[in-house]
Amino acid sequence: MNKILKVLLLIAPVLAVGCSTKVTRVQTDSVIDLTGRWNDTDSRLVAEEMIKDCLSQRWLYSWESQNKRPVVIIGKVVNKSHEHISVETFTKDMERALLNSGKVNFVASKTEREQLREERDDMAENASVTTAKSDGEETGADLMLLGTINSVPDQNGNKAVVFYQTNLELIEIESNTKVWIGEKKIKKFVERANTKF
Amino acid sequence: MKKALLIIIVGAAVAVVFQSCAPRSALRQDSLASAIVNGDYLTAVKNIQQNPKLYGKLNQYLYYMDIGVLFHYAQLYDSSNVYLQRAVDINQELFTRSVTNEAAAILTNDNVRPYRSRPYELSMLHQLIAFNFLAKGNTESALVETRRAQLLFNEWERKDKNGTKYTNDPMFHYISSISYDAAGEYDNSMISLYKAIEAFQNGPLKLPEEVQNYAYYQFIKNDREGDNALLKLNATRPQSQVDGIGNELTEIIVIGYAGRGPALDEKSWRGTWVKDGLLVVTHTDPSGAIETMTLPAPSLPEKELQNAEKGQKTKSGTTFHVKFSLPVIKKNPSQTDRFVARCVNCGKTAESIVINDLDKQLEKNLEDTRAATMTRTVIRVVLRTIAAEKAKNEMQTANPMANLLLNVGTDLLADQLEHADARNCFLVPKQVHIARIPVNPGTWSVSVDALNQQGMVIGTKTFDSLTIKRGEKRYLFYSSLK
Repeated sequence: MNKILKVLLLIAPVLAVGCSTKVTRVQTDSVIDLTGRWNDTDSRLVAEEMIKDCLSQRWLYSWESQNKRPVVIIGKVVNKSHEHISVETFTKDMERALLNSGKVNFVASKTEREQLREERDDMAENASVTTAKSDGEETGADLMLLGTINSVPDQNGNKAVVFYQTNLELIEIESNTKVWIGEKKIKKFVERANTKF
Repeated sequence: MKKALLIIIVGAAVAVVFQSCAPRSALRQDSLASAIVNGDYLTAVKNIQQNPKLYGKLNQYLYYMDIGVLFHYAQLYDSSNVYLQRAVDINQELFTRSVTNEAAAILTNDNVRPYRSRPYELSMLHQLIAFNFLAKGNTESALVETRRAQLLFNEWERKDKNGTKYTNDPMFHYISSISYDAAGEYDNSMISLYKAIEAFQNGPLKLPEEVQNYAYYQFIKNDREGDNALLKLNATRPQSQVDGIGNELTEIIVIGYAGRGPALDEKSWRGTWVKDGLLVVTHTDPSGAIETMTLPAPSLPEKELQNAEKGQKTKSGTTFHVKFSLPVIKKNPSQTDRFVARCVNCGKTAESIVINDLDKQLEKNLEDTRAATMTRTVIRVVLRTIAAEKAKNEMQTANPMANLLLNVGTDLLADQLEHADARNCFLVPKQVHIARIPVNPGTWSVSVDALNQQGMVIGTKTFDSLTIKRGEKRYLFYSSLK
């Protein structure tokens, strides 16, 4: 009995340590798949593919040849998949990359504009004449970025295959002409354990 | 004698440990009932959060679902979704079953297993998440829930080889149909409507006449007359008398929750054969009432009594005991019979129809799981009885009275381990009603009355200055849980 007690006392601290929360900081581009659902790696893959494709296609050359920079507004990316996905995680990456390339300008999206217009209304009432910003001076966008995310899941018991397809499109606002379509496909096989010890 | 004492001490310790696994659902019901009936949902949330032991580690799914439901009733939709989404995650994590946990449950009772949602509760969970999104005008996210739930329905259908179990939810598909219509996906809307009608026809819920007529004319409007034939659907009224036929109509949709949902309790049966010639049979019903019968039974041969007189081990005074418990449904009466929604400044009125009845859903679930529950109960009772009999044999003495005391004591300890799994989410409503008012785009005020069976108004809620855009479906929620 004494031997058993001694062993228990020895291993108790080890067990206690083993049970406490452990945090390890990792690189933002490291691939860690915990559940099989859409995660940061998927958003990063989509953003990388879209940015590379968008900046290398012909639609941009026609603007560059006229020494113009197209003005783009981010529209709605409709989530038609079976998971709640934060689309901003890749639309913002794309916006940042295109803006920083110096080849594209962006204007505020619909939700961002509402805040700006509220601010101007407030300035009209409260700010000095010399510093208040006027209405009616907004830059109109030339192109709108729209998109969809679709998924096709197939599940049988503890195994599932999920296919995601993200499409982004640039559409000329005046003529409704589509000038670019980007696409990224991702497929995953997820297997869950039926039992554990 | 030392061995007998050791067996008793160990048995008592085990019984005490597993007594803590005995149903806490009765405690939860008692502590939350009055707050819910009075509409004091945030007090109920506070009560739960301050007393996590009401749930314990094994009922985390129920913990998060109950709080999520209460926040939904309190119209705090974002908070509700935080908790409900966590309940979804927990249910997915429980997909993997622990072998040791399952073994422990076979030897004790099913309350030592973590609670896994009943299928209709899981549908209701996704429905509430969808309702939270719809309340905030977020149809897109509500449709994500539709797709998530469809994966569940597909999996349940795949597993249901006989086609008799709950595998589809009519309310879920009906609401999804409305959401798809709002999103301009008319084909998907009709497919969901088809599934809703099929689920009504194949399940325990009656197909409401208004839904029947609406579906009939909607299928025709969308060039899907074949669906009417497949579903053997007929209209009971001319189209002119059926509201809301068309795609992407502007509507006010009132969802009413009537009464408190069902809970589970347990019924127990005990039989003790005192081998000297007595049979005692006891039945305990959920109200705690005990019915006992005492009958003469076959007795031991004369030899055993002679053994006692000679000071030898005897079976005189020993017992053979069996106890088993099964879950039973406990329904709550509801004062609320229906709702009437009035668009105050457009002059339109709509009376609600029932699109979900959680009493019937739980009854169906108990029916679907009866075979599995009985099998698990029988295996558990047999194993425990064998173990108890072995222990009693080890403790046999030459004194019939000592035998009787030791045997009855062992039977009592074994009894403590036997409990039915009486857990469920009892905070869902008894019935879910819907009333749809087609309106023109504009600003409207709506008043919703909850009526009892006699038609008297027992509660009213008003929604003022609702600005509704073209094609919008504005959802309003009213809980009358009395």
